[in-house]
Amino acid sequence: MTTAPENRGGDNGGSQNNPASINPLGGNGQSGNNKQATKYIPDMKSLGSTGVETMAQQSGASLAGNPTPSTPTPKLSIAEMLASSGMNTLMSDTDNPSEAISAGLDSQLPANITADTRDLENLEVIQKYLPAMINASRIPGAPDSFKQFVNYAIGRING
Amino acid sequence: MDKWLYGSLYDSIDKFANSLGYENAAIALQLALVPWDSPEDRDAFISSITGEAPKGGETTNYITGN
Repeated sequence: MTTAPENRGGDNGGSQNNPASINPLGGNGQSGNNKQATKYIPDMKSLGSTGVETMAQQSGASLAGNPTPSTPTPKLSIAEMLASSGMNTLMSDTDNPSEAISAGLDSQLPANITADTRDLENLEVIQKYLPAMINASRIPGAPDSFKQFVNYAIGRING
Repeated sequence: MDKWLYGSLYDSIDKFANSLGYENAAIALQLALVPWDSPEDRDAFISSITGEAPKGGETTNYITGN
């Protein structure tokens, strides 16, 4: 005796197998409105509501997870970010002009050192690099701004 | 060096000295000696501490070395 092939259960080839019928944004498949369909939920009385009220509530607002495309944040340069955040840069005026320049040091500056030693440091470094900078200023295509800086450096050394 | 190179040490000296001001020549020269990954990184650093675009030679003066 032959038996007919078993054909109960299993995949019936329904619409869920068709990728075109699935909403890529989630939600309720072919409805495409990003909202889950309202459903009558029985036995809500114990929670102080009725099934009809719950159903009305569901149609009132989008689901919490309703996907909305996010707007990409425009990319800012570091300088723009600093400017927009109101942060000071290294070259900004101090916010606390009455604070001593030695604030934060473990001990006070020695008496023979003035607070601002920039001039001395400038002179020291310029002396070290001036010969090479003079040579570099003769390179074809050297920008005028570089030549001006070299002239300033020569002036500092000559006093 | 027989031509001015964008991104060279002297280019960096030019950019730092003119961006930070001649009165900060010492720190400008020290920063120019930093081995920057690229001239763009260096310029971004200058912008971050001055809040302005880097100052210095015009790009038209440069031979990029490419």
